[in-house]
Amino acid sequence: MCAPISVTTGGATGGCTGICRMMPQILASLGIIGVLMWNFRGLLVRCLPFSKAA
Amino acid sequence: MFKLFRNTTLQVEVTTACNLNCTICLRRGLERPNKFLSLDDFKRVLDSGSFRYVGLHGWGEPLLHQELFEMVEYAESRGVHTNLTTNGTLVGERLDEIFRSRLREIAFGIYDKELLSEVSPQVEGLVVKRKKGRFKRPKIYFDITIYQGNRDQIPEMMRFAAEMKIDAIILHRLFNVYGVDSEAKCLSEEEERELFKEIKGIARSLKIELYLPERHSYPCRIVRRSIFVTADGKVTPCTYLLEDHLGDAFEEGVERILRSEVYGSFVKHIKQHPICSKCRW
Repeated sequence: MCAPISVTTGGATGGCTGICRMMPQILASLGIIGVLMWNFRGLLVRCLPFSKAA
Repeated sequence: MFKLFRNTTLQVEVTTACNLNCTICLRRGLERPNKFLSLDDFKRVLDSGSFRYVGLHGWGEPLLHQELFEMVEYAESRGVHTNLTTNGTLVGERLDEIFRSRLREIAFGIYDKELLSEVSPQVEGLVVKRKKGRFKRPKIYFDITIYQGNRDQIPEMMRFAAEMKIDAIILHRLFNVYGVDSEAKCLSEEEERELFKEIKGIARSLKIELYLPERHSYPCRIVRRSIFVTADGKVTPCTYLLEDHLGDAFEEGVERILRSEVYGSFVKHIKQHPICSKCRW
């Protein structure tokens, strides 16, 4: 009878039972995608249809 | 981004008064006067930071507080999810308020069969009323302290929980660094492994959700996920560290204290802390 329920269950049973429980993974994935896109931006720009027209 | 996932729970001690004197409770060793947090002070503390959850208990029985459910209603109206742990003895007297306030989660803090049989009519009353009224809230849990004295009683308590249609069982280790009761001893790691293996099987067969204690790490999950405010407004990193004042919640506000150097220094040196270094919770 000491720590709150949200601490002992990691918030799993309280409010956040949906997609927000996956938020760390979602944000990390978005970060990785962002870094990859930045890394291959040159290739991506060349592959885009509108860049060929120019 | 880091901020999003830390200290999401505010734990507020609404009162230091209690109607029981449990053998394993740290409160027995504390010399604190009975105090009740006022509703206005609660609102001030809650609004002084951004939290996803608020736990309304500390070293006292929260249902003794007459304005407890006004606090619950206020927190829920601000989008903060409410939960509390109770010894269960007063649940029957406040059933209507529990449902009216939209409390999200309630846990019955249990440590032996005697206490369980004492509060079982209250548990039943709550479960029956929730079913009859088709209420979705509150979720109802058993929060069981595991120690040498009740190791063999846990399977029976689990069966009782399943019969009662309790939503989940939470197990946590005994905190006995202060040596409140010399006879209350933690399980060894080996005993704990055996027990967990056994009760995982029981939980599967009973189809009841079970939350076991995590492997201890630094900073521990209590410090990572929550911050504690005592009934007189003192902010401490954990309920077990009542002497580690980080600041005054009424004067400074909780968010400011979480960003302070004092708090940062506590987290940085947590492994060397005289209590945290011995705690296995």
